[in-house]
Amino acid sequence: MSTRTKKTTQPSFPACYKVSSKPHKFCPGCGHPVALHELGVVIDTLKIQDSTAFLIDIGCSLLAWDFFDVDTSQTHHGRTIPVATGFKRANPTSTVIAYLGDGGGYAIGMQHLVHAALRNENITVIIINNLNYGMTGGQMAPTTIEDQPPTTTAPFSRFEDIYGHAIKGPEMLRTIATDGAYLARTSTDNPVHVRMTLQKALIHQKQNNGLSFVEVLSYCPNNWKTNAKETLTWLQKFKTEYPIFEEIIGQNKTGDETKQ
Amino acid sequence: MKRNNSRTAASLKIILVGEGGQGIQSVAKILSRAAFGQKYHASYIPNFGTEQRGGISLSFVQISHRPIVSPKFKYADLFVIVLNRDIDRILRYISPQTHVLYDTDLLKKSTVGKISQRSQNILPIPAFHEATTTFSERSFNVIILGILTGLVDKKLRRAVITGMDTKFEKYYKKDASLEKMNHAAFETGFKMTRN
Amino acid sequence: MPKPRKNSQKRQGTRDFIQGNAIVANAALAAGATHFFGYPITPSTEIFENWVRIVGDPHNPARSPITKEPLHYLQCEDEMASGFAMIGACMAGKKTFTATAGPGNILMQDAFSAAEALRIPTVAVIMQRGGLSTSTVIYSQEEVTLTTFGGNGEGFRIVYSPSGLQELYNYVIKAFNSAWAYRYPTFVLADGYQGKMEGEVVCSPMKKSEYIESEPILLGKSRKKGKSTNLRNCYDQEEEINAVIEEYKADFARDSKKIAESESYRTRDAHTVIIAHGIVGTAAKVAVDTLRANSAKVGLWRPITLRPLDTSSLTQIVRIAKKIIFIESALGQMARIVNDEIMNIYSIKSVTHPTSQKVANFFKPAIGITPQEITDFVLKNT
Repeated sequence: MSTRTKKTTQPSFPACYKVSSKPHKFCPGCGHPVALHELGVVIDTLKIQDSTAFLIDIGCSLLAWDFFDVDTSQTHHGRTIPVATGFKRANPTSTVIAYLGDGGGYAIGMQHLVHAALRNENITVIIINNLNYGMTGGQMAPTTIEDQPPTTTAPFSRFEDIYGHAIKGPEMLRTIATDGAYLARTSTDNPVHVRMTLQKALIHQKQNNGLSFVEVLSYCPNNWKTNAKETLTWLQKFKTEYPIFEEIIGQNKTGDETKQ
Repeated sequence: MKRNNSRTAASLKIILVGEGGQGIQSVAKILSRAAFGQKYHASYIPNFGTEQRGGISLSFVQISHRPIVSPKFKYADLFVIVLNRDIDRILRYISPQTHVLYDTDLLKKSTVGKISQRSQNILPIPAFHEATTTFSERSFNVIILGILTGLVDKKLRRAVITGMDTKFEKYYKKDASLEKMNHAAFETGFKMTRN
Repeated sequence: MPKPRKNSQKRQGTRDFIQGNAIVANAALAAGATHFFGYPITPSTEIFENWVRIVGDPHNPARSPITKEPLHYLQCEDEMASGFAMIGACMAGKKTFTATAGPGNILMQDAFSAAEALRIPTVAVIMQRGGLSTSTVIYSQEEVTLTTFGGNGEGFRIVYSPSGLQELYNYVIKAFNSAWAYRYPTFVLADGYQGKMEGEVVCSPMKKSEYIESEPILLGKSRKKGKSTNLRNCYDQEEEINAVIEEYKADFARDSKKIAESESYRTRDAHTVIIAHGIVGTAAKVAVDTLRANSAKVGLWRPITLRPLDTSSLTQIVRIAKKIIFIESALGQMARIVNDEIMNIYSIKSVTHPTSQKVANFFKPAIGITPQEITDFVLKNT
């Protein structure tokens, strides 16, 4: 795959894609490339390719290190948000994106997410939630639920009496985020919605409105061990556990994606 | 009062031991800074550890004609103790050559006994008594400051008083009589060293 | 790149009587630092608090005397956040620093490893406290291993060990310039005594010839030319990371010649050479003078950089010394890395091992060492 073309016979890449790194390294059917494609479109639309710092975690997100022709750095597992915090405070006119998985965001990096919300850091945090630790082979994550494809460290089920229940990230942030923060959940089975949500989030940052946080429910057929149909079915089911919504703290919330 | 030959000694190592809140660190800071300002080499370090909140207050001061190598030292030349507690582990800084000043009112007899087992050069000072009878308990550490200034180098008197006034400026603003009392308390301590 | 000046440089300016930790903050300001991220931990906390005092009202902060930009600080939720926020700010092109000790130094190894891999010029001031876990909050020289070779790296770090308050000031300034010149995580490894004591120092402005400007690592010159910077610290194949490490090794060997510093004190005709660093080095110097006054042929080799070690100077020492005595407030952490280098000197550089060269160790973990103790030990062991 080389250059983009206006003809519709080949997929058009966002202009900010790093063509030399394609095809990408994500698993077939993974939700990351869906989210990243939409992010790329938004970066093009908002014309922020030259002023964006794209910071990624260690996990499946690390595969995005050369995905974009956008200044990018891998960080350490769970430490993406502090790097984003430091960068943004040192370069407040840049657009800073912290791109993590559910482990980096809700386990090892949870305190950093909490404190970024408390401080209302003016960054955009994107958490790709595929309900397991993908890169390491499918272990239980803070977002693993009882009724889902089994994980390797909770192979029977995420027994809540032993392991506790899953974390609802944006819902938790609702209780501690500052007025004006943007919180949303979207899902990769609706790429248009992903695009619109990410665009709102980045505009939110550009307008200096404080934290913008987007959780993206995402596919992981490799670790779920599902075919395409099963993958989509599971994701639909996960949306009942993790509802699509968006909210600006202190203002009206919208909870139904059909309104989009 | 037998002088410690402080002006001829190459360096003077002083330890002050008090209860947290008696103002011992202030005495050490004012004295060391004043000595530095008068062309001595000086250093000061508080004893610090996790028990510092609500514990004893210990400071190491050195005043010297030569640059100072290390903020702490093994034995004190001058050991001033105004603490009303058993402090066995502190006594290790006292050698037979150490001159010990202790407050007559505050120290237990048993503690004085332990000190005299380590050094014969001990001298009681009625600082607390003077403070509570003539001035106020708040001026106790200022009397100690006066005594130390007299012992270390009488020529430091002006610099120490200035340093003291600078340090307590905020308190003087709230209570104008405090400055006068501090000066008087200082002189009381200072004069004690004449004998 | 100007050769680093030896430690004997004197600064012009007024002498002042200041706490060591306050001196660190002053030095950072003088060096052109603008950003601080940290977490309180004894005995380093006053570095943070003095920086806060310098910055003033964060809504209307003071400005850097060097870059004229507003100063900044953030108390982060822990040391990991502090270290990584420092990395972020460095990536944005700001001279940034942190201060920590003990358990905080341990947590920050996560960030320091990332900085080592990504060649980010972080500056961390470490005020060593007792070793082993929480320990004392007071003093030791037991964070040498952690600071020089911590994390899962290969020690591609610059570590300065200052002796006394003037060196503390001088080397904090130098740390910023070395970090940005050579792009290694850089450390000033002091201790709780140097941090908490008040004493004499001349806090004078940094010389123009010393100053190395910072620049953005992301969204910098390349970006303006339309080229993206994509940084990774995660690799797929053994050969990839092996190549990176070999490249850094070559860089570090080349840069070491300009970075390494040491002091050889009265060593020219010495039979016995003491090797000590930091505040123990100061005590050792006094002991050397005492011993020399009593006709003992003793000298001191004091590494000022623990990483990289000043190998050429150390080579001279091992050629002449009949006896080497290591003295530190740790169980041989500094001795280990110096011995390692001495082995290299004998084996790789083919310097002949002087016949009957002996070594003695005076290790007092977590306790200060006086000149008298050093003198006594040397006399007993000569």
